[in-house]
Amino acid sequence: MPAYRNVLWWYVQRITGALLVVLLTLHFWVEHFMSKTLMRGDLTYAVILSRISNPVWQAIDIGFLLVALVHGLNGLRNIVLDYSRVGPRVAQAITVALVAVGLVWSWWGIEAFSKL
Amino acid sequence: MKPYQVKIARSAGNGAPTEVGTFEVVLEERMTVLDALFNIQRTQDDSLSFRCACRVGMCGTCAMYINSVPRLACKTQVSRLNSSTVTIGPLPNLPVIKDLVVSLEPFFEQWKKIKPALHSPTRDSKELACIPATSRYARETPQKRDCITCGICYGACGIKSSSAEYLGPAAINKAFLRLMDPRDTATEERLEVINNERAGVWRCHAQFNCTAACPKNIDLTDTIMRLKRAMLFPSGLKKA
Repeated sequence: MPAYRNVLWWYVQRITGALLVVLLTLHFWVEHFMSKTLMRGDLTYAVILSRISNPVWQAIDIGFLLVALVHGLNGLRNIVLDYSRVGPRVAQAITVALVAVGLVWSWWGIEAFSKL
Repeated sequence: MKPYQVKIARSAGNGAPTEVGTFEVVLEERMTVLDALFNIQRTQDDSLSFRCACRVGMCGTCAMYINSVPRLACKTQVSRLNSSTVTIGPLPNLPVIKDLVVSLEPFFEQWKKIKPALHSPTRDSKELACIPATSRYARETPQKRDCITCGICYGACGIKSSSAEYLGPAAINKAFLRLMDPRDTATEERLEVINNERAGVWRCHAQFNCTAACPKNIDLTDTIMRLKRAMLFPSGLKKA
């Protein structure tokens, strides 16, 4: 008996939620507490550039962006399905619109690294 | 004997709300909300409409909205409400027929969708369809089989209040029992209904309102969450 498509999104929502806890904590720690230059109060663009030029940090940042987008947009879709009385066709249109928003936003975020 | 103020949501014969009727009743310590309603109907207003049958919490007929919680009127002692004012309304999420009487038709429409009857391949057999006491079904479902279809979970459900399509906890619980039942064969059909994006288990967000309100203490949220997890490998539902 095959698994149902909806169950995969249900699991994805939970997995991305757990990942967000880790990534958000990492993000806040790195952005606000870890940088010695930041703690000294002389943070410059060069300091930031050196970190985000590192492929490991790029992978973490892009992963963070994708996880946040999937979790946020899927959550938004769930809210729409929970609290609206729209028909299946409108719901599908909303899904397509949210996927489009996700793709554009992903491209926008990932593409920014190519300009470094 | 203690005096109570009882406020009852009244409605016309077509279910349209008219007013909140306020009554004074004197009750003994162990008397229930149902006793209070009978007292009012017999001594103050014989037009008051409500439903009851067994009076011992077995039939689920007297489900209503008491002090903002769906409960069985026959099982709710007025003294345990810890308030001298008792506010009673019809069960939420269901159309009102009159006063405290609601139509359970929408509830049973959802109930029918999950095919509640047993679909056995040996339907014409004269043999007893026994379930071994050691089977997983027998071990894990005894309390979940206690549902009296009172509609309280349906009235308590936050998602049901915003979605006419959602099956509701009781129907999903019944589907779960049939899906786990080793004698039943309508697994695919039920899973299709349960998996429906607008009506099925995916709309539940574990608010626990149904579990908290259920007069038979059925952990309905657990049922729904177990079904969600089982959807990844549905064949595991019938494992012994």
